Amino acid sequence: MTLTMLLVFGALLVLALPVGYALVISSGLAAVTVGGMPSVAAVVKIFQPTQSFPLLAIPFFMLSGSLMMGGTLGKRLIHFATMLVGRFHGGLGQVTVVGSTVFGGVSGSAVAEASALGSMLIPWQKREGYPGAFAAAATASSSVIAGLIPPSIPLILFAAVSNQSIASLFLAGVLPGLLLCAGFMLTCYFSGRLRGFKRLTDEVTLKGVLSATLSAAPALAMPAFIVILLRAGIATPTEVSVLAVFYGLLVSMLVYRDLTLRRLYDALLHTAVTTGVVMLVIAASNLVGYVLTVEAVPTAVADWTAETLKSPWMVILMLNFIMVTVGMFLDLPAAILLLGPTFVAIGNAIGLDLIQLGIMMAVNLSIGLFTPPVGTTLFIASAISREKVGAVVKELWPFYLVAITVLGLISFVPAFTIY
Amino acid sequence: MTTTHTSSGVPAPTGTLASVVKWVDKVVVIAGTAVAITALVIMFVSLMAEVIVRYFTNQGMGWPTEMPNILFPWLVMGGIVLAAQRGQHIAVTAIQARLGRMGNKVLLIGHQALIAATFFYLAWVGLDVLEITGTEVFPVTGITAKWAYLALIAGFVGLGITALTTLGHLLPASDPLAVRAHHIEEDV
Repeated sequence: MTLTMLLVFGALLVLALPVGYALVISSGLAAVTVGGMPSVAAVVKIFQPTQSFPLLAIPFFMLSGSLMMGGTLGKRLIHFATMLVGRFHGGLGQVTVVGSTVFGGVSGSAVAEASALGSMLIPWQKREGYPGAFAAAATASSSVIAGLIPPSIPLILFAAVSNQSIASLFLAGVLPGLLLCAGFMLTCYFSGRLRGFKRLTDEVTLKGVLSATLSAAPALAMPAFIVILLRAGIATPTEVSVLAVFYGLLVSMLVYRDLTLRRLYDALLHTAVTTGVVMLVIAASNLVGYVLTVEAVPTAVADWTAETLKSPWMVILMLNFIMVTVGMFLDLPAAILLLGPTFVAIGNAIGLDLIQLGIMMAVNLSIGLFTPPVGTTLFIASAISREKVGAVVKELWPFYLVAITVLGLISFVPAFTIY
Repeated sequence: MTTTHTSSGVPAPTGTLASVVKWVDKVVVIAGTAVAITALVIMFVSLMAEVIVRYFTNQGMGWPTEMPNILFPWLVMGGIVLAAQRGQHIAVTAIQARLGRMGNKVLLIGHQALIAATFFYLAWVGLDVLEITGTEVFPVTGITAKWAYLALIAGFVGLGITALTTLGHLLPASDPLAVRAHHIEEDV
């Protein structure tokens, strides 16, 4: 049954059928024709994830992000980041990195961030004399930090797969996210210094910095607000996501005063469509999970891995290799849902903390977002900058090195994720 | 990666069939949008009310917690159909760069035939699910679970119809890749 499913899925994927449809067809075909599962049961399996209360956090966090990102917040955050780091070597690249990190605390989605920030920052950097490919590389790589800063959609998905606490995962993602931010900033600094990129010369005053910080404060407070509510047990993750929407509405209406009916409608529509994209994969993956569980594939793979590779270090290395490779081809939600059940079994077999595994997974698969042949943020940044993907990849090498270094740290030093 | 919506880049087909296809697409988009946004807004209002009431009285109202069971499937299925209409479902499209126009046309027609067959079949199976679950009732609101399962059938039918209208766009198209071609950078 599993082999049939994998073969059909692989064939449909190569034939460019959308991932969600390919999952429904391959798993349904395998379960019903080979496994003898009644079609009615297959339909119920597809339906089940829509009854998950924790998964409801996904559309509400998306809506809060859309509400806040659609207004003047983007410009305010960029102004804030410019005040902080614009005057240093590679300053405009660093503004991209800092902007992405702060934006990540609102959007939760790397793809949304690459589109929103890239459209503002890439043309600006080009006008200031930065190579377009470098500007695209900084955007493509730094936008993936959103996958680690709360409210991270990939971490909610991992929580659903692994039965881990969303609050613990959110908290564990902060330090790796900040490490990536620091690493990417250093990359921009040294690139700017070695290649003589223009530095901003505008005078920075304490008053100006304070004013920019105050203006960006509602966005800066968002991840802290989410983590505090969750850690204090004041509300469930889904309730926090609903409160985040309320917060987004209040900030847009009362603080920034930029909420219009049109923008509200756009945010609702964008949320509905994005929820559809993500939930199709989740619903189909439930059927895939059934096929794998019936044949005890995760347990078998975990036992085989533990027996064959012996050392946990080797197992972790292998997990990383598989995740980076899969991430190069598959989009993040699909990869988490497909690999999750098997990797959780392997993690349990070697005594790996599942929170650490979740962060490893998010970082690995995020790297896949800016690597060819299929890298969503890479393609978005490349399209906005009008630079060839190959040229952007050449500029991405130091960013890859930073990402791999951070990955190594969180994979082999538990203190970076478990605190 | 490219993903597949009706784009302004496609020469508008003419004739009765083209008008029907356009009209059907419009109905599907309006219905999907209305259903998904209504479900999202009602869930937000009811869950927000539940949080506020529980904060002040230490006791929930109960019924808002059942709203997601009934409405989340409608949001999801409405969103899935809208994403299909806009060509936003994610695909690995490397092979399309290697195929010519005719090759891509055949490939995409094959996709739509497969999608239509799959989802109309699932909608038909869904009718049995409705029958089986007819007796299930949500305890607080007393609403039958049929209303939740109905979303699945409506969504499957929406996907099947979208596949058929996509076929209607594909057949006369000179550039098949422009049909429901979604340009992700335009989402800004």
